[in-house]
Amino acid sequence: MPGLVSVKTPPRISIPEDHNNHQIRTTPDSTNPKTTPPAQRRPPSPSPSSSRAKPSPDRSSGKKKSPEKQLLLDESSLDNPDLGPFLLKLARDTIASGDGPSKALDYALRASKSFERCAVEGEPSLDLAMCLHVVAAIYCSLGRFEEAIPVLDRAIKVPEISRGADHALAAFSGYMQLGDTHSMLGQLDRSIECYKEGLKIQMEALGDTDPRVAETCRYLAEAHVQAMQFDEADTLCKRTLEIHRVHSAPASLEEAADRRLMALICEAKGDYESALEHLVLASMAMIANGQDNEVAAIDLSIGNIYLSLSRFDEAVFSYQKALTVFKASKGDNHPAVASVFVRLADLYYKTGKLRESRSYCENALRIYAKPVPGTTPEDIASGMTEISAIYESFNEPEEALKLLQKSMKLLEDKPGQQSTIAGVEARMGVMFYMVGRYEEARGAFESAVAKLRASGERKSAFFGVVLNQMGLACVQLFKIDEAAELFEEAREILEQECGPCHQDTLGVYSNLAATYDALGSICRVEDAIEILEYVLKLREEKLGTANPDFDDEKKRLAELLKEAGRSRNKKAKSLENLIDPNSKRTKKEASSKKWSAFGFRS
Amino acid sequence: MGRKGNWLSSIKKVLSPSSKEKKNQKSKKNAYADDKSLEPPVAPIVAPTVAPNPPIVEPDNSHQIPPLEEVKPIEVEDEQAKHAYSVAAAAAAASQAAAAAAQAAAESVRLAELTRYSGKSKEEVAAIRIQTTFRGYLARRALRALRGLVRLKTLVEGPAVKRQTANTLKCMQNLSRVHSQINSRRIRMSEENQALQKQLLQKRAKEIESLQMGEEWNDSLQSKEEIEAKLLSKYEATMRRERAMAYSFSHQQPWKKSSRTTNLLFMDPTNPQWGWSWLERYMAARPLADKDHASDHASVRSGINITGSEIAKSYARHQLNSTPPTPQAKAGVPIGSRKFKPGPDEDTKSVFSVQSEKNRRHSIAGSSVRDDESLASSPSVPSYMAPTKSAKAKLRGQSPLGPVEINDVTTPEKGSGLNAKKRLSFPASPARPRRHSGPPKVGSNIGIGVEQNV
Repeated sequence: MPGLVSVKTPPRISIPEDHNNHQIRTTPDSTNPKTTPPAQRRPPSPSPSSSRAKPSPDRSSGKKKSPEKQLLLDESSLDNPDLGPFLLKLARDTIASGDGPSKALDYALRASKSFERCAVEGEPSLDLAMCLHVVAAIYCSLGRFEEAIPVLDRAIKVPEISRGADHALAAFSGYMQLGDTHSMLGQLDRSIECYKEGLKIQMEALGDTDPRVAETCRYLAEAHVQAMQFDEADTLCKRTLEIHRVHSAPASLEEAADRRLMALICEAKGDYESALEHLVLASMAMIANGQDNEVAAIDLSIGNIYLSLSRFDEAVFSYQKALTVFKASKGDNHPAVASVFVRLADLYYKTGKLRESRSYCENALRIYAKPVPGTTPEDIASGMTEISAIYESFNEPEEALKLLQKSMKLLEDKPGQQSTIAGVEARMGVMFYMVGRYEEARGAFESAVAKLRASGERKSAFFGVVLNQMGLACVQLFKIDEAAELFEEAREILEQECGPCHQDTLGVYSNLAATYDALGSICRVEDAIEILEYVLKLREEKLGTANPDFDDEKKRLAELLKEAGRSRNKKAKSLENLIDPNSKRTKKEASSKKWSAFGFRS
Repeated sequence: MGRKGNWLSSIKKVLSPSSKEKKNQKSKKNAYADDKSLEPPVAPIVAPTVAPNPPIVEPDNSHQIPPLEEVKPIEVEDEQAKHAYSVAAAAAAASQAAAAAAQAAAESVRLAELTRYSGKSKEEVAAIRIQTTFRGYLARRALRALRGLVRLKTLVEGPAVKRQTANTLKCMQNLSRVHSQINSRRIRMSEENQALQKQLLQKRAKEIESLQMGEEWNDSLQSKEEIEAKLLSKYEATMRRERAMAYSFSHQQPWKKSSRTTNLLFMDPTNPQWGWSWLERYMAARPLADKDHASDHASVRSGINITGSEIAKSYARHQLNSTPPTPQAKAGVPIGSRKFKPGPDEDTKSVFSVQSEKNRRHSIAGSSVRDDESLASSPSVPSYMAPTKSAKAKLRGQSPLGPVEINDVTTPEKGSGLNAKKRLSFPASPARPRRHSGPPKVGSNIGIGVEQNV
């Protein structure tokens, strides 16, 4: 059984494998670039170049290892140039044999030392870089991501890109690995920086239109989507599509993959029509390639778009199509089937058929309760969070909370899931808030905010919204000072990300003004007045006063001004202006719609 | 004035500790709802601001928390939008009165105290005055804060914030949907990658096929070395493909087993490999790009390519030396390989080797190049040979028919009810002596080859 063999051998063998090849490849490169008859290699030859490449692999299998092991325990022998490759080989074999990565780590570390000692002055040693990559990979496989980062930081400094393709390749893979490691730690921003650097190196080495560059672009685009940076993702994904259009046949699998990502981005930005177009094209490509399951998965996404466009009949059709395929190919209890159930439940909720919706939810939950083998916890967790969203709309926050807690448990301790967990926590916070458990809400928000902060310096609008909600929870708990700080931060972020005229930003302004007001000190009241005047001016000039908040804010400002004893100063004049019905206002109504249409957040 | 008096008393209560009990009683009598709803929030706010005299505030606090609870439900029951505002308005009106009251209170207290302490020294009076003014200031500030708090509270309970909360919830739902979509995409990507890999493989096979066809025509023009070099490079390409497959295969395992993985580090669960598998594909795509130059200078190319390692090459060379058709046969074009074949005997062998190659490839796909290396490096490991030799010896003793049968690859084998064990041991004997240079694996695999072939 060939399959069995590979099951036993952990995937990690592949790492050193590459390394080894690399090292072997570089050796003949430098010594005798042309015709080295491989036949000569086979017998152990005395020439240094071949001895470096060969001897260790030669004795890979079997009992010969142990005497050699004794030899290399001697630290002084690290100066031996043959030792590095050999130690690395040992490390690799240790992993392959399942002896435990800690031993392999020891070998790899010593190999890196040996490479370091044997490195020629002023000559960047690719062997060392590769060895460091292996060390980092072993750290990662041990779950010690923090320790892998300094190793990789060192590794990316070794190669000099100007020295040719090999160095570029080493630097590229180093950056990509570093990016992956950062993303495992939830540091999305840094990982994106690394990927960008890797992409830059690759583009310099291969040119802008290489298909491999396209792949890296897509990869980076995915990372951007994960970090909610849709515009960057959009640009990159478009570039990927362009490259693939040149290099591969129309309706290729690559194109389909690109288009699906593109659809995801468009959907997230609220551009449903383009998303639909991309999905249909991707679906055609998949049909052409006979990928039935993929076609079904795309049908599911198409259904989602139809649902967002309120084209319910078409959505039902798409969902049913996907459901049939999934049931036939994966069985009735596969999580893929459950995911279609969830979507159908959402659809029936939106069309007002509550009973059907509920029964679909229950069916999906039944599948998740008894997962078939091969179901990942992430599958279940994401399914449960989606179902909880439906329970939230049923106005059953307790049930929704339970589901969220379950999915939290499934996701906990999974590296690389920090931002997902933060999202779930924030939702739990909102649910707690809605049922009046403010203390718990504040705790949930706090933990979510901490995770989102760790993920990077560039804050998204989501972060601002979460901060605002946390501030509200603090207000409920009479923690006015804390609330004021949170609102201030939320204001800053939202102003930057959404602009001052966005609904969320205005909400934060109003909250902040009220909080300043409640703080009571004179200067704070001044701030409050200022903010309210600004908001009213914005509404008056740009957004129109039809909003019910307008009256409320107007009255609050009037009160504040009265209290401050300034009802008749120039600021009061501006109030008069506000009260005066402006003829321009009606015209502005149309533009207000544009402001509030912020993609899928609105 | 009754209302004002009430306010006055409540202010006094704050101001003077002595009149506390009396005022409390008084305020109890006065069941002005707004007054009560207004008052409770002051406690937490006043507490920090009026730090000097906390004992005044604390008891009040305990008294007045209950009324708040009373008021709230009423508030909620009514139509919220309107009522919230009306409550706020009432509260504001009350607090307005309170402000006036506070001033009046401060004034009156000062007057009262002035008259009361008229006998005191100037300094004392001044001190008292300062004290009262300061207290008045504190009270006013507290009141302002209180009013602000009431406004804040009404805002927070109001429809605007409800909308905000709903909006937040929606945002968060969208966020988790995007996350889960990206995650599931990553899971799918690994599958997609495999599909891509397969496609790549097929494409490559076709290319090699066409190449081979061309070779058949041009054969005479090329030297043997050239052909060999070409074959070598082709072999390397296959190796690479196999290794790429091995990657995807081994990567696939954790998903299926779903032990602790699928942290979805971009396409690959156990993140660190991704870079490497990427590297692998990066290199695997390479020969395609420089195929034209490479086909002439296989060795140069092998220097460029990572994956075509010396080991693989030596193995390939080894294969070439022993059974030239092997790589071609593997590429799926046995016809093309005929050119090299010395005789019909070799032909049958090539079929064997095709089969054995296939088997070997499977094992490589599973376990990666490692076993390949061992093959290459130890082409005639005695341990391998020992059993076959003995088996051979045994066979010779047992049935002289064995070699003959195998030589012709005949049908009697198929028809005869010989057990599989015996059949497996047959092929070793004839193949071995004829091909000393051949890799042992071929020999050991022939049995299977026959079985499948026949």
